[in-house]
Order: sequence, then C-alpha cells, then structure tokens
Amino acid sequence: MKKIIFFLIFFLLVLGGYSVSQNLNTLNKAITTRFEGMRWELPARIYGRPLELYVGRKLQQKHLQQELNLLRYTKTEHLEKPGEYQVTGKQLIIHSREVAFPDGQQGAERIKLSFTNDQITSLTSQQSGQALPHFRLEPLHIASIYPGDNEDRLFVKLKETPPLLVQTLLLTEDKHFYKHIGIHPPAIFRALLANLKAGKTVQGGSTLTQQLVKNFFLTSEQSLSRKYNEALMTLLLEYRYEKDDILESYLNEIYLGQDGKRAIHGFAMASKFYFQRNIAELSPDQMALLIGMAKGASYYNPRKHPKRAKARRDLILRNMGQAELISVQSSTQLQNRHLGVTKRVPSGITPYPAFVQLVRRQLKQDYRDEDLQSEGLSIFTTFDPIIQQQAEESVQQVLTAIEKQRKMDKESLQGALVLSSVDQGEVLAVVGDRFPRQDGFNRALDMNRPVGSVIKPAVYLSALSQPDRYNLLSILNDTPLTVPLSGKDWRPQNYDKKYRGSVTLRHALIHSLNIPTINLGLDIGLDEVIKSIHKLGGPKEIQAFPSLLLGAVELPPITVLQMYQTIAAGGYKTPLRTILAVTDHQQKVLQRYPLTVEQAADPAAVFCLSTTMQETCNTGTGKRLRNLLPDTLTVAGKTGTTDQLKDSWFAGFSGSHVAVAWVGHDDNSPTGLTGATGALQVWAETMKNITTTPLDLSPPPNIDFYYSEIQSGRLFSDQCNKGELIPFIRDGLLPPVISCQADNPGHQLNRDLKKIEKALHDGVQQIIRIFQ
Amino acid sequence: MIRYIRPLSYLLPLLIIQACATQPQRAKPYHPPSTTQQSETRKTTIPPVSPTSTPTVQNIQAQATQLSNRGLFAAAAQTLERGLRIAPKNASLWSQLAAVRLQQQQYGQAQSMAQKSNTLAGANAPLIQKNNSIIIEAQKQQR
Repeated sequence: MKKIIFFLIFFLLVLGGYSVSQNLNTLNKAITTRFEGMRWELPARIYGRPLELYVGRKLQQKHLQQELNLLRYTKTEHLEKPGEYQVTGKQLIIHSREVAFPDGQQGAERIKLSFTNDQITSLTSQQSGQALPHFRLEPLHIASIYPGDNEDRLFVKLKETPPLLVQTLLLTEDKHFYKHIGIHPPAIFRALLANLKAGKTVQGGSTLTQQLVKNFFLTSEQSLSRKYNEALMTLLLEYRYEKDDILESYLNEIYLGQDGKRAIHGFAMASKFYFQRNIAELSPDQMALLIGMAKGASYYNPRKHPKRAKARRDLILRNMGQAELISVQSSTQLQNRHLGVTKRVPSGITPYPAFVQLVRRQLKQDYRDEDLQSEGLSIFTTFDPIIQQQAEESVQQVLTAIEKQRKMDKESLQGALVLSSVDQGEVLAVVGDRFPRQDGFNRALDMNRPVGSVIKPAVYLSALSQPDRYNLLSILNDTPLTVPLSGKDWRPQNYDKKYRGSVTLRHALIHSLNIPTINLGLDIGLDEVIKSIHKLGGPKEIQAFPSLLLGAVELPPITVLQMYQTIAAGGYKTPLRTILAVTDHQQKVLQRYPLTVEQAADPAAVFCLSTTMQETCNTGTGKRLRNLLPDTLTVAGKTGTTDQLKDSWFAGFSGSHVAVAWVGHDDNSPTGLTGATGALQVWAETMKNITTTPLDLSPPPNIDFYYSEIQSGRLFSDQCNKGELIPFIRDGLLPPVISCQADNPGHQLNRDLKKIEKALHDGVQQIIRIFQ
Repeated sequence: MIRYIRPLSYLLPLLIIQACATQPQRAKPYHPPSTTQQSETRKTTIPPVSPTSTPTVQNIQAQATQLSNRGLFAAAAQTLERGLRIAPKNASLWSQLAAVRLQQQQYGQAQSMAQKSNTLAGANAPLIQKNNSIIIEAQKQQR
C-alpha cells in the first residue's frame, strides 16, 4: 500500500514539474553525494593524556578528584550510570565511561580504588571483584579544530543514542515516521487547519525527513519551486535510504544552539554544550529540553529564555507521561526539576591555548588544514591537565608575590614555563603567559631571549666529553681576563666581581663562575661548544662569539627544555613530543608518533655533569631550592641571569620531570631579578606541588668514584673516608693523588708541588749549563 | 770521561725527582661494602638500582610479549611505551622495546634503546648481555 501511495505522489510531482529529468538528476545527485560521501565536516578533537591508575602509583586523591571534575564526572551518593563517582574517606568508586583509545576500546566499568599516603594501594573492578593491573580514565578533551562553516558536532550512531531520546523525538516531531513515505499529508492537513484557526503558524506539518532535507540541502527561501524541490528530494531520500539512516542523520544534523561563531549541531554535541555530559548520560528531563529546542534553538535557548524553555520541556515531559514512555509520577517529578544547564558556556576556544599551539605546529608537519577541519580526527596528546593547572597557578602566584615583595607595579612581570617527562620527552604542560587563557604571544615557544648561565652545562659537557683532558677536578684559572675581539677587547667578570685565582671545574659550575667558564670554553674551542649545544637539542647555527659561553645566545624556553631533557635523560635525546596518535572518525589509527631516542652525549660525561648540577641545587647558585622543596625531593638544575638582570631563568630536573622557567619584562627592561630570585621560585613552586620522583642518578658502568679533596682538586690515595666522593670516567685523566695521612692536604700538596718544581727548575738549569 | 761523569751526577737526582713526579701514588676507587666481593673484576662503585619490577610493569611486559608473539609489533611497542610512562627507568622495559624495534627493522632505535637499557641495567649481567646482542644484531643489519 505504502509503495503504491509513494509512486502515486511521486508520479504527480514529476508530472507537475518542468525540466523534469534534468531537475530530478540534479536533486538525485545532491542526495547521493551527501549521503554516500561523508555527510558532515567533523572537527578534529584534541585530547590530553589518559590518567593511568595502578597500584603503587603516587597520586594525590585531590588530584584524582580534580581530574574527574575536569572530565565532568558527577560526585554522587549512589552510583547509577557512567560519568559518576562516589567518595568514602580514602576510597573512591568511579563509574567510568566507555572510551576509544588508539590501542583499543575500554568499556564502561565500576572501579574501586583506595589511597594511603598519596598512593593508590588497591584497584579492583567492582563488578568482578578482581584486582585490576591498571586502568585508564578517558582523556580530557582540550580543544577542537572547526570546519570552515564552524559547525561543531559529535557524531553519534542511532544505536548509541538512548532509546528514550529517540522515542521522545518521534513522539514530539513525527509520530508516524516509520510509517510515512517522507511526506505525511494528514499531518500537513492538520497543521493547515490549526494554523488557519489560530490565524498564525502554530503547528508544522513537516516530517523529520522534510526537516532534514531543509537543513541539508535548501535555503530558508519561501517559494513554490523550493517547496517543490523539498517534496521531491524528501521522496527521493525516502526511496533510496533506510528509515534508520535518515533518523541517524537527523540526530546529528539538527541545529541546537550557537556559541559565538560556533554552531552546535546534533544531540550529542548539544548534550555536551548544555549539560557537559555524554548523550548516554542524559536524564529524561534533559532529553525533553533538547528535543524541545528542535522546534527553535534560539527561541527556546535555556540560557537566554529559561521560562520559555521550561514550559516547552514540561509540555514534552507531560506527553512522555501520557504516551507511557515514562511514568506519570516520574513526569510530574521531573517537571519540578530545574533546567540543569551548566551556567558557564564551555567555550569552543581552548582553555589551554599555549599547549594547543604547540600541538598545531606539530600537526602542520603531517596534515593539511582541510583534513584537520573536516575529517573528524581525534588527536591524542601528552597534555597533563593536573600538571598544567599547577604550572599556571605557580606562575601566577609567584609573580604576584615577587611584585608585592619588591614593590613592583602589579602585573608588570611576565613568565613562561614548559615541562616534560624526562625519559619520553612528552610535553606535559606549557604556560606561555601569566594569564594562561589568553591566546596571544606564546613566550614558551616564540620568545627568543638570551639564556645566560643556563647554557653553561653545555660548555662543561663539552669538556667532560673529553675525559683524557678534563675531569670534574680539573683546575681552571679565575683571574682577570681580557679576550681580544675585533674592534674592542672583552673584559668579562664574575657575577660577584671577585677572582679566586684557580678553582676546580666542578666548583666553577656549581657557583656559575664566568671567568673559569670562558677559560674552559676557549680551551675546548667555541666550535666544540656549539656542536655540544646542537647535539643536546639547541640550534645548529650559532655565531661563534666568546660571549656565547656566558649565554649570549637567544633561545625560546621550549628549546632550552629540549637541551635539558637530553641531560636529564642521561645523554639520550628524545625529540619533545606532544602528539602520541591520530585516529579517524571511526577510531582507526592513522598515525602513531612513537618514542625515539638518540644517544646525543656520552652517558658517563652527562652523569658527571648531572651530579654537579645536583650539587648546584644544594650549595651553589640554586641552593635556595633547599628551602623551597621538601628535603626528600632531590633535583639538579642551573640558574640563568642576563645582563642588567633582564631575564631570569631556571632549568632543571627531578627524577621524572624536566622543566624550564623564565621571568622577565615583555619590553626587555631590567627586573632586578636573578635566576635564583625569579624563575627558580616559579620552577620550585611547580615541582613542589606536582607528583614527581626525586632525582636518583645511576652511574653508568664506566664511572668510578674516588674520595677527593675538592678544594685543591686532588684524590686521596686510599679509601680514607676523607673528602667527598667524586665520579670519574674510567680510563680518563685522573687528578694528582695525595696521601690519606696529609693533615691539610691542600696545603701539603702545594708545598710538595713547589719542592718538586724547584728541584726540576734547578736540575734543568744545571743541564743547560753543562751543555752550553 | 770525568767531563761526562760530572753532569751525570747532576742528572741522577733529577731523574729520581722526575720519577717521583711522574709516578705519583695511585688512588683506589671507592668500593661500597655491598659490592666488595664482586668488585675484583668491576671497579664501579655505588651500583645503580634498577627500579624493581612492579606487578603492573610485569603485566604490561607480558601483554607486550603476547602482542610481539602475534607479530603485532606496533601494538607491542605502544604497550611498552605505556609501561615506560609508569616506570621510565626500568632497564628491562627499555630492553624489550629495543627488541621490538629490532623486529620492526628500526635498527637505529633498537641500538639506542639497548644502549639506554645498558646505562640503567646496573649489575644485571644477563640483561646487559641481551642488550649487547641486540646492539650487535642492529649494527650487522645496518651495514
């Protein structure tokens, strides 16, 4: 019967048309192109890292709850559905959501975990009662890259849509959807009568298919030819495609709101936009509200017109009760509920612009803008929202405190911080502005400033990489120095303007002495130092001026981070990564970005360097850290201060995290801050508050430790438990040796040396006389 | 003759002094009490502590082994990377990843990762041996 009616109407329409065959062809092509190709341009979505849960993991309970809140999990007394969690003292039960990771699907599950002293001590599946080896929460959605038309949607399949939502939609918009042929003449007739009676449009007669055709293919123009085309296309669509296919398209196409330029399409996106929930987590009243908006998303906007929206929602809830989709009692109860839309409109713009800029730069190397805007790609990154939040707060709090303490103008200082994991080089947080929501100049990536003494580890590494020439106790001159340059001589000074005669290499780095560093750098050769900077991850082209040895080279914090990552990882450079994998809209992996390592420096030389940088943080230029960090948190690092105190830097690492902080003025004027009084504080505040591992340096196999007299740079002849244990590269140059019995080894040694020198001198003079 | 003996009498004390100056006392590297017995062949002090393998890491390694056995090397590598996020200094994980990279014919990476594993392996001789064979194989393939 349905087929007969269909052909009859179709025949009449065709007869009534003009240029029939040509028009029909065009319309048919439009429909098939849209339906058989990809129906929508889907924005790319950028996600952070999934939070890994496993027994033994160090994690503060408050950080887990912070993550759950960011993921919009609801804290509840009684768990009902995915997206909820329950807290009882030190125990949490999480009803996780289903999630598609690049390495596979993870179903929704109730997991139970307990904490003791900021550590997960048990992790079980509540359903099976079995212990879980590990579990991942879904990653946080941190940004989207929208299509040119700015339509934002989350594609949802019909079978994944809650049946109650579908039933209520059909009840409200098109009761006879599964029976009609696209057009439903009785409904049109009823609407016509109602509208005539009311004297205005109060009822629409369009079926869902007609609404879809209007949205998909046609303009809002009201003309006879448009109506004719609409009818023809509706019939064609119904003839060619299954009802479920049409319904699924409707669920994803329907316009349901606006956020600035961003248009909200489809019920799945609207669930996020209005309730911050997945579509599967909607309650009946929330479904009713969204379905009510299908009639007019602006008119029934619950944020702008809550009364109107509530009246419409309640009408739909009543209808649901009458149609027995829900009980009448429940319908009444639900009508008493508030609308429940989230107050803050989650902006389409990312809250983490600095990190996303770095992601987009890396994406640009492999994808065209069009692909990012239309293919519905999911981009899984290394972003850690908890660390990011801590880094942002640290920058803000420390800068405000410094300004207050030093009576500077409010908000005059600027800051940047970048942080990555040590061994994987995964960038976890990027702060490019003390106001991190501003999507403007990204100091972490784009600001080139002289790095000052932060460069010195590269100079010392160049030396230590030549173990037949240098070791940590090599003696360097610290006397007034003039470096002849073309034009004008350069007379560098130490920061304290003092000279110490001679110092060990180790002492010079710990206290960041300029003159010994220059003497060392010139002895090794500037080209060697530049090579070393490049190997660590710095730029290749650096002008070979001696001032480079004191950091007169302009680099952005992200480049300094790469250099320090190589040092922190024992000489194994891992290119800094933000992207781990990219999947298409069907969760098929398009590209993985695997971990790569490259031995960029000799691990033994790096070990010697790192132990010295650790000492820098205990007794040297970074000793303030001892008051700022817990005693158990050992770290290594280096301060950096530039001419006239314009830039304050600190770069360093714990056992698991490496970070670089910068503080300064945007106009490059002096701040009065050294590396230790500015950036070091920001760095420490961040490290103190994240969960990180103390630095526990493991010596490579070819390292030997010797008891050493560190002032004079000598080794003790035996294990006499005097002095300090200093590492040396096996088979490399060793310092002179003194006896354990020497009371004052430094002075004794000097006396011995002088005697030997004198004897040698006399002897040589004698020989000269003999042969004269 | 006397002409030559006289200068030699000057040279003799000089040579003695020279000998003293060029051959100073030798220093002995520090040996921690726990490794004194094995230190005859290995002078290295303060043995690096390879992080103890937790059940979570063991589970991940077992998963990766299964994936490797099925020829799913990309997935195995991804699983091991996940393990390294949990235990980044675990020499055994680095070694296993090196072995997967060897299977994937990424010889440069196999070699670097095996070297990195060696740096973290401490006194774990079997692991070092395994890494060295990966390095040799990778170098052979690269030639």
